Amino acid sequence: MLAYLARRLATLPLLLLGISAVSFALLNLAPGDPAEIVLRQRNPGQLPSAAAVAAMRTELGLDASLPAQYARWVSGALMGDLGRSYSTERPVAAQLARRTVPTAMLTAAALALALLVAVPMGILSARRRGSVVDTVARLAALVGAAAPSYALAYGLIILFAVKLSWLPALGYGSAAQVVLPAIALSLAPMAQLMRLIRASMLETLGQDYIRTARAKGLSEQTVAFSHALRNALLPAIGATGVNLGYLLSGAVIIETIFTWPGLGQLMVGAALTRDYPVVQGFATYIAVVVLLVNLAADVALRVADPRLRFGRNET
Amino acid sequence: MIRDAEHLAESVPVLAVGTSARRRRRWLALLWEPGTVLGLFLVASLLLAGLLSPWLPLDDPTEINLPERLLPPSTTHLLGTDHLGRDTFSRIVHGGRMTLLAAITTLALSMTIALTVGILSGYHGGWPDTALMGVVDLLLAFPSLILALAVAGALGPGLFNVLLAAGAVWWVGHARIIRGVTMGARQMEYVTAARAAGAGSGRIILRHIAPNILGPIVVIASLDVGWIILGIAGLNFLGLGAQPPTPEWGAMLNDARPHLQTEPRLLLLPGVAIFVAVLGFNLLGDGLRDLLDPRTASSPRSS
Amino acid sequence: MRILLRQHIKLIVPGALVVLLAVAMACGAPSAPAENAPAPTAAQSQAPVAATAVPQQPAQPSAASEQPTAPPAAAGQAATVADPEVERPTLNAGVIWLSTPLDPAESGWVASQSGMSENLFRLSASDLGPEPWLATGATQIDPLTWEIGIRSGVVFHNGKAMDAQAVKDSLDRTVRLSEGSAESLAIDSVTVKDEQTIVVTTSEPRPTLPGLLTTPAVAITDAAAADAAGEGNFIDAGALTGPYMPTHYVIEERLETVAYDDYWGGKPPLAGINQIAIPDTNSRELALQAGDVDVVINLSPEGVQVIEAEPGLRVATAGIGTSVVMWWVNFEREALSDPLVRQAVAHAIDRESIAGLVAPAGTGSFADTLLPEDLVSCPGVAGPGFDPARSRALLSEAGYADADGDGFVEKDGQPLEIVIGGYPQRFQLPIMAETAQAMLADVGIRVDVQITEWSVVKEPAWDLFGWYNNVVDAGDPVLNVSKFVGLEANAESSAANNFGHYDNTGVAGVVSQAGDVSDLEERKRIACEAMAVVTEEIAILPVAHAYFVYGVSERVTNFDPHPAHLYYFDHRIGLTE
Repeated sequence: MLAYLARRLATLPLLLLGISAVSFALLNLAPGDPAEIVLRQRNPGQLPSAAAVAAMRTELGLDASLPAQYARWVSGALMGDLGRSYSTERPVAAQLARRTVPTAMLTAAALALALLVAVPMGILSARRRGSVVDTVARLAALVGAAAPSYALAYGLIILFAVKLSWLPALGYGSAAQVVLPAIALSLAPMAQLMRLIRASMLETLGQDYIRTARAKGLSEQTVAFSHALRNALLPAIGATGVNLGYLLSGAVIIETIFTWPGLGQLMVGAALTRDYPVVQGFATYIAVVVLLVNLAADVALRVADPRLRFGRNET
Repeated sequence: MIRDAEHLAESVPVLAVGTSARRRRRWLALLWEPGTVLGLFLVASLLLAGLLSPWLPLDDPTEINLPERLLPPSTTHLLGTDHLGRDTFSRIVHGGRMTLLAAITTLALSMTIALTVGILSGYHGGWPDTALMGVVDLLLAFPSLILALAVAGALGPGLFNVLLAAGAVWWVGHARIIRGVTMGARQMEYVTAARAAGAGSGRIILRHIAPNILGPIVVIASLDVGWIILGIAGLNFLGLGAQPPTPEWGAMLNDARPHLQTEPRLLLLPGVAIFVAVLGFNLLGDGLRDLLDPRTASSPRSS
Repeated sequence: MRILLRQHIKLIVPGALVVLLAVAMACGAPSAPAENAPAPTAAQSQAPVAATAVPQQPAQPSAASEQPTAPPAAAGQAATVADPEVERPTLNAGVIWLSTPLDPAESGWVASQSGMSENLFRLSASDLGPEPWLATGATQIDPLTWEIGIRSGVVFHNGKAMDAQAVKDSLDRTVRLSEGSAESLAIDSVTVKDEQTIVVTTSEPRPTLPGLLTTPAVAITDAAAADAAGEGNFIDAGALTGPYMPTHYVIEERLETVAYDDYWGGKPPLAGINQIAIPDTNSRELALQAGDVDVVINLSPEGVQVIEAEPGLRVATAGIGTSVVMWWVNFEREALSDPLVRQAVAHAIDRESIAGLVAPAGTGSFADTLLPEDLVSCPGVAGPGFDPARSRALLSEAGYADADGDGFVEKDGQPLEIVIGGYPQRFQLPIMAETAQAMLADVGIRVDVQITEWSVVKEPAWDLFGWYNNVVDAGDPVLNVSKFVGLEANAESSAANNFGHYDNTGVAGVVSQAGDVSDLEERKRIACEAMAVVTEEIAILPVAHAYFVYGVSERVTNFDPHPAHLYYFDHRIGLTE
């Protein structure tokens, strides 16, 4: 276990370095001269002079060689300096930090909602395979996985905020405001989790030790909850990282619709205006978070699943 | 729009090899499953409509007719007209063609990369494997919509850029699965035998590995088209994709946003179209997986 | 221990995730006052957002206001306002952007729009010309010298009195910190004549100085306090004079203000105004319908329909099209450098029909020429009318014909294909591009539409580029024509926009007549003459004049929408429970 953890931690810096390289490449993929873009943002309506552009290139460190720029970017990133936004000229890192709170709240609420529904439904669906409950649950999962969240979000707003006036349409600050975006955001991962838990529960219920437990005369409840459930939940744990991916991707669109001042809204705005430092900083930041959550989930899975602990070693 | 690799890896093992009689029975079983049949039907109709749309007796989807804007559904305009007087039905059908085309292009692009990387990695092992899987692990840390958004943001809006972005990030999960299948196949006795008999790598890959990979690829592809459609429509919805007047479902949704309350039909229709297409591919993919997965083949569907 | 761990793993993992997120939240805990951001992007400065009217009071440069004014509390509201027992309501508003720093020297749009900052002059709600505000009036002594009277009884939020010295310090600070203002004002020196009078001398004639003083960057600021507070602490300085004082500002998200009870125009009936930025038009309208906000700025034409039909809500607009929606015409690309093709394109587009789409009655009007007729009427100046037959004739005159029968014209085997650009933030622009595409196809011109972002206008990648811009800058019609062809109002400097690379020598000759003309009617005449040249040469193609349209809850009282983009909220707006 410790060896595994050590190995995973040892590869972490390599992965982080890779992430930074991908992010750096993103910025350099972008057409246009950053120096000119900054100057145009500062003085809208004026074409910057060649001298001003040259001065700005020096100021931004763009006249250095690519490797030197990369080294500077990485050392800056390590110190928490991800550059400045072209459009607001504010430090990207501060913007990301401030917008992490709303996004964390929204994704946590959506994840909680997804688990709250998916776990019992998945179990119930597996235990009563073929029943009406199972059919309904499976249909719901299919619908949830196929519904475009952006269309759904507007539907929720019209119904619950405008027609029924139960909840605020958008905005950020109160508990009521998190409900609609969290629902819209949770559906896709909810559907996915439900299918996953149902499948793995079914598989577990068919296995030898469960049959043994049944043969021993243990009640179905005991079998289901103390033996099968734990193992059935393992894939769900393993998928935490993937689900975080779902949620963060979904948040990009949902935040835009609900005017939720989180990372997604920032990212869409930056992508539309080609505010490269923000795009780059955001991608790096999310990648690091996902990487760490994946690591945590894998380690947790090892702790929980003896088969993995003593089985094949994969990194 | 999520990389489904982890889930797929759970559910897409090596292709079952069975006798033709058993296979035929399985195909029959597949046909019995109403979900799969529905999926097959939906996908077939989508493909057919997409293929034939240029020859169908439809209005020009880009023909603007301002006096006839925002007409309700009627016999002349089955689904009414949009904010510029274009026939909505025609735009939905042509939009399907565009959406499918985009999804299939993305899929082809990502599959090409995934096959190259996956087979290379799985067949050779050693340092190429370590290096390639390192890259895969790395890219897996970037949620795909976010990476696609970043690429599209860097390249600027445009359908081509979105396809490029989606294709460039989508292969990662597939590469992992293909690698796994390749590794499995490589260790099979007849492959070992062929190698011992001195067959070249290319021959082995083509003759022995490829048939084994085919099944999983079909499953992944059909399960993934749904996600790709959702993802591309999402990027288009954000205004990063197709340029007007191209009919594309996500872009149509985006165009219709101002009419959310006055003409909800304009949002609803492309929304439903996306939903139906994704549902169709998901159902078909589930059915194919059940069919090709030996673990679940003996019992009725399990997921 | 391990078993225990295993049994609870289902709790631990989601729990751990939540903890992780919580840690992330703690690390990211804001507190950054988010105040230190500069320059409005062009899209913003282009963005007329508009106005609530400040009523007429400040407009009078009369002797009455020379006396130290005790807040005069209007009769009707006196009861509510004066009664400290009654808890005053807070107004919630949804705006498009909150993207400029509060310090006026760093642009000042948000401060002006939200009723926090005030200038010596402001744009009048009726004719959009300059009228005294914190000034009592201005007299031109000679071409380079102005004497400006200062309103008495005005006190900065921090309690310091605004006298002539404070105004001088403020102007000096603006000139020092704001390059753009320094250039447009051309102030050489400001001297204090007496407590209530300053003398401004300029290095070049500035016949429209009062108008130039309406720019939000020139808002009167307590210079010493603002400088002492330093970057990012502008709120603490209390350096402005308007009816609302900022308490909390998160740039691009929200702005909270409280009423300034010692406001010189009277104590506001509101406790304060909270604004949130809702860039998406739909969301903004929905927020009003759901009751999240009481006022929203800039409704879409569809939003107007919806809000009008909704009980408890109404639509408010001053009904003057202070923004133009138009196309830049690119003279540097081959296609449109030929005057015949330019005319053919102009005659092929039914601009009036497009205006009916993007600015239907109640939200705007057709713009045949650049400036709105309500403000500047130019008889005899008419833009290119919709005439497809003429367009086709012009094309064949230019040597284009459809030789291969594909429905599109070519010349020497080269098809005529133009690119229409635009940006998505203004809903009008994609619609304009798409409709024009279809209209041009009818005469055989192939069009590629590219909706990208506004800064593409500076790249040579388009033939027509959609644009949204206010046309009431500084209340000077000459400036608002000349700025579109790359000229200042005196035609001497050429710093402003000329995205189409139009050869402006002809217009420059006309505009230079305005050099030292201060009479508004005469300037309107010159503006008309300049517009005649611009229209004749198709330097740009105007489509519509857009109003500022507000959606307002019926609970909002005394809301008087200003037609311009600089003033949303005055000190009289109230809210009933």
